[in-house]
Amino acid sequence: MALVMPTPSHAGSRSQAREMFSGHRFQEAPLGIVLVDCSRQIVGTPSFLDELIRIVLVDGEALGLLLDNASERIKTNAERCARNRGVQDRLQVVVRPPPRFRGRFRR
Amino acid sequence: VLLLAEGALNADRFDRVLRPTRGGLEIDLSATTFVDPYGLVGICCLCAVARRSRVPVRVLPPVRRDVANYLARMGLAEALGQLGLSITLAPVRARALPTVLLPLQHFDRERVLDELSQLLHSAVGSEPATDLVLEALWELGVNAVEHSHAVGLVAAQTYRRGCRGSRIELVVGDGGIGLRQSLQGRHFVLDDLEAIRMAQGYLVTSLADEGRGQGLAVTREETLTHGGEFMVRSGSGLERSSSGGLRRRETVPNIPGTIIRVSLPCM
Repeated sequence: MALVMPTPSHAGSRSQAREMFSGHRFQEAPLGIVLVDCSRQIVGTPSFLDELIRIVLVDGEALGLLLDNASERIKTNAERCARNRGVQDRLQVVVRPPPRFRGRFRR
Repeated sequence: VLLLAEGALNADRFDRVLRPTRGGLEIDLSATTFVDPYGLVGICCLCAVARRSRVPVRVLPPVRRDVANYLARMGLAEALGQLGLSITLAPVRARALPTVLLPLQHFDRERVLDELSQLLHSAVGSEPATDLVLEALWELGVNAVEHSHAVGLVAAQTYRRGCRGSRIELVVGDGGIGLRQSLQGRHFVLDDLEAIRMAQGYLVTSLADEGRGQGLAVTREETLTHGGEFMVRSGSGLERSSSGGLRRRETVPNIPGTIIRVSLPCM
């Protein structure tokens, strides 16, 4: 089973990660691949990402967690948290392209 | 305690202008020439502790108009008002400023942090330094909510091309139990300086859950990696770190609670 979840734009606390999965009962419906859409995410703190990884990969024993459209900072933070918990082989982060330059070039 | 702030009331001088007195807390800003977010959060933390201990508090306003205007813009009167205290500051006209100010705010729940994070982001935009400051706001703010047993305080400001270049500064504080008492439930902690050192380490926490205790460590490490300064004051301990490996510890007058300052160069 694949589960697709959006994240809050300012995701800073562990309780926000818990709220994302508050209606899910892992024992009844085990997680397969969890895809988290980070396209609107501005902040993703180590605490939020650690809780997300704990819920999905450690407690939920999901096959994989894919963070899609994440910023470079979220990638760095998420990979550090996954290494700390020994589940880095089941985490994949796809980084979104940097915003296009809209200013004027100096001649 | 007498906070006799002659000259600047900032992160470098805050502890040097504290004097022991009898009969309550007096904050004398009449000869103050400069205040920064650290000074503001420090004033409010002192007042919060005094109010909780039922100690009488007197706050004397600054004489200089520019300092009074800054305090008014940073919401000192409103922040003290929430503690049941007052300071007389003339109202200031709203106008565009060359710097971004995030006025003093009390917070006791994460929803307020979410609002502050959105407010700060809309004011300063997105760049590596401001993204780090938003992360720091969350990590330090949630720590204050979960561990301090007191209401938290936050203030932030950008500085444009000052003597140390453009930078953004965030200060989060509380008048709560402090790092030492917070960690003592699960660790042997010798004193406040030891508590500060331990709290900045990876995976050191007062909670049973393994994997916790990385927010403060990551915030400090990233601040220093990006050329910033990180400062923690808790109880009678103070530690300043800056990029290049400089780390200075000192014993300061004991004030319950914790104040943390993050300062980062920005565009």
